[in-house]
Amino acid sequence: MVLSLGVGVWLGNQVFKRKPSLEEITATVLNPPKTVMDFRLTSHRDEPFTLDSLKGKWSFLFFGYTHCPDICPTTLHTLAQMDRILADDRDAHANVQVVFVSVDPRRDTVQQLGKYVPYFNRAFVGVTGSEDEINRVTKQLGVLHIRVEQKQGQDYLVDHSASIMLFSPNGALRALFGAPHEAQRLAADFKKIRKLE
Amino acid sequence: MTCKRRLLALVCVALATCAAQSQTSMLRVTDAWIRAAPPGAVVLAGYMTVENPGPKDIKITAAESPQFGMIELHRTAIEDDVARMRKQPHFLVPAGEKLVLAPNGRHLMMMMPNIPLQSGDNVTVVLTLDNGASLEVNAPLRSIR
Repeated sequence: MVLSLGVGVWLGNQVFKRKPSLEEITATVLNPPKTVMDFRLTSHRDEPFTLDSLKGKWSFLFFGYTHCPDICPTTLHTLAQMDRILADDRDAHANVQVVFVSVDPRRDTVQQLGKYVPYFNRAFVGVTGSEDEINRVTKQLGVLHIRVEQKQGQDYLVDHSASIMLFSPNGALRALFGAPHEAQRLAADFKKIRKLE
Repeated sequence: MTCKRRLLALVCVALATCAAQSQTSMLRVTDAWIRAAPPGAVVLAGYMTVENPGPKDIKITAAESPQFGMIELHRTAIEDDVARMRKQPHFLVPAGEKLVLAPNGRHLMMMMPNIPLQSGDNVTVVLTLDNGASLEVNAPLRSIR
């Protein structure tokens, strides 16, 4: 009786602890994770945002700009939905941060991001910096961003990568989520990726 | 009497022609909405479903609103993981079909709001059509879908 109970508990633990296989995850998981060189950006709270800011947390990074009316707010809404889904599971939601990195530092000042990013979720972090520092980050991550000039007197547009990047708590790039994004899928994939560690 | 009949026939023909014309110029718009944007946003996106029940293709060639400085017709396309937003010369609504303006696709790019807009506010958008007609649409601001 005690033995069968013990075996049952052990089996249950094995199932619970089972690491998901990569085939079960729709995101692209990087094996090994890609390490990143340090960078020096500024958060919308006017605080330094460096590689250390990614450490100790699972960080979702999305690159966009506040003058983008369609895909950027759509993605930030999706990330806010994902955050609400994860919040129902204390283990899954622990140490998660969402970071919006501007690829338009000319217009996206700290003040502009301070008004924009918390609108989607108060815990979300907006990040900007000098063009050189933004390029330093985007180049090593392979994030594309190209300014597209418009006709005279009109604001420019920015073509940019649409993927969401996931960094593990040691500050390395762990997975890429390709667009279009869907909150349930992001949350489900993330829970599985956490279990890979 | 003959004169009256002729007049009546003329009126009937005129009415029928009018009805036919309004049928071809008529687009049916449903589910129009504008995504409420964070404070300080100077560009918003408008979405809607446009149905063309008539027998002729109709193009939407322009849009304007008294509440915005300028509106352009735009399309977001994600190719090779890069999101590209481009101005479109028109939106085609094929005869008997629907055109859906939706997030991550075709949308109205609404620039320079005259006053800060919030969820629940109504925005008037006037669409210009290539058949000479125009269509007024009321679109509420919504924070999320």
